[in-house]
Amino acid sequence: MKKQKVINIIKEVFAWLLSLVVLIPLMLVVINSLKSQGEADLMNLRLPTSLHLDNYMMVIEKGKLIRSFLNSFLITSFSVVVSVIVSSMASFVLSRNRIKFNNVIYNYFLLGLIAPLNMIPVIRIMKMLHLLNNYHGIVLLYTALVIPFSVFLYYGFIKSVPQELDEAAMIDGCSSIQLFLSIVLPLLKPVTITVIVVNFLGVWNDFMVPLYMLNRSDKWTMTLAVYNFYGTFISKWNLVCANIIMTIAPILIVYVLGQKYIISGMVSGAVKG
Amino acid sequence: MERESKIKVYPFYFLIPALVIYTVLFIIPSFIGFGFSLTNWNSMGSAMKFIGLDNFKEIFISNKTYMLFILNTLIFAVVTTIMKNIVGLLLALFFNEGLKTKQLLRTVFFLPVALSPLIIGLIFVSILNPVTGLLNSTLRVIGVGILEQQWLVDPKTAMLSVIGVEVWRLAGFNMAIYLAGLQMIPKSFYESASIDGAGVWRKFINITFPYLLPAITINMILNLIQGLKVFDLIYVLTKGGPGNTTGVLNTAVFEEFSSGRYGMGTAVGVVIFLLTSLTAYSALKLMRRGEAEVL
Repeated sequence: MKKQKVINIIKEVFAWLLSLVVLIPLMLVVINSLKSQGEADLMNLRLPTSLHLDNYMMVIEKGKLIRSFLNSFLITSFSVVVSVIVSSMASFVLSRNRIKFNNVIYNYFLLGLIAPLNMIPVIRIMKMLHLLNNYHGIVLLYTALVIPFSVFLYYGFIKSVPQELDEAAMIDGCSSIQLFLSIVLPLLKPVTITVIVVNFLGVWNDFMVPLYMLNRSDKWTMTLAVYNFYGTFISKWNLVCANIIMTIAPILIVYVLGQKYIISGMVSGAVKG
Repeated sequence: MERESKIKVYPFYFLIPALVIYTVLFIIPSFIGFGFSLTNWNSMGSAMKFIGLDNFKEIFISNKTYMLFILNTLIFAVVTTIMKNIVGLLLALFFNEGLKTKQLLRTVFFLPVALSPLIIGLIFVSILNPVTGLLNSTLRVIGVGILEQQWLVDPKTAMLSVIGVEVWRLAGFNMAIYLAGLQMIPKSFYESASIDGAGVWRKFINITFPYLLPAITINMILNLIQGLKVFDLIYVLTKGGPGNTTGVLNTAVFEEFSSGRYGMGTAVGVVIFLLTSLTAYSALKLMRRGEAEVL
């Protein structure tokens, strides 16, 4: 028994040494975001000789980051809200009333889990519908992109909510909307949190859509702003690192607060499929 | 409930918003894409003209660069899939038992999954820099300077480097899926196997492996699809270079788009669509058959 204990301690130490492979690249960014430009040139793990918090101020000023941060926040929040509403409603009907037609629709949604988006025709269609270069266009596009996984997660979860509730509510004279909003939706809270968190990460982190679509800098999202900032200040790693930190800060907060929902949601979603 | 009342309780109009948004912005563009891919649609001013399969002829026959992109895409997808699965499985097996901080470790290793590939790309541009990068300077410090490489700059190592970064990014995801799979195996199976005198390897082959098959299937398919669609990471790390050695289909689409050859770009997009669907479908078929045979 004692031997087993020692082995376990060695295992634990080794596991944490291994975790440095994940942590060091991130530590590297944090450390270098606080260095002077000369020190950051070397991009090593040595601690800064003096703290340069002014890097952050400089980045905010030169990178127009406040604007980009608000853009990202606005686009991400609205995409999350819209996708939660439309996906939960649709999944409710699809999961409850399994007629052939609904099964076909469900599978039609799942196609989007596999099929890639063909960007150039998307841009063409969005231009036709006057959805290019404005916020609501990009919000709708992101909603379309995350609907498949959201519907998939909701559909699986709704199965576990007893259907007798619906019948009781209908006997009490609820309308479908009342039933959904006041009885079913509150019971979907765990999966809703998962969908919110997963979609938040997906939209906030996306780079491809803004790269193709947002050519005016006042609409840039954080990822695009960081990328363009990097292009302009290519040798100033202290500034690039500060910019990176500001881009991933919201992600880290969401990740730490919602990690339970992220990992279990993504994993159980994948395993059930 | 009866059929009729069910339709009343679960009305069709609940489906409409999701259906419309998804159809108009996701499905219709994919189908219109088939049409556009048969044209010379471009930004150079000449009117859009139907040119049949000319774009596809260029992709598959006359212009060798596209075949290189297809090959690179396949290599990237297959190699990353295999490596992510091996690393993920090893981590999961290692973390599954005896560790007090298992949950915390899982959180740490899963973290890169939550980060933007763009950001990860930027970080690794610095780490893989041949002169100042952390990787080469670490190799020098620990006395194995011989292993130093030009990583992203050298055509020989560029693809390998990009693959390495992708494995770093998503090994944790594979690990989490394998951990979930391992938890579903009843402990008593291992106990009775021990009583029968089975060793570690026998236990793995006879218990762990068959029980993990569903997880393996999921990981294989998800990783393959993801790999075939890769864009952000490669775009940031190498832009497809040096000399197209890391160019994949999605970087090609962006190149065509940037140079205004929309018809051609759409055609490449169609190739990605077909490749992804076909791979996912056949992988699923193949794996399901494999599972049925083992279980």
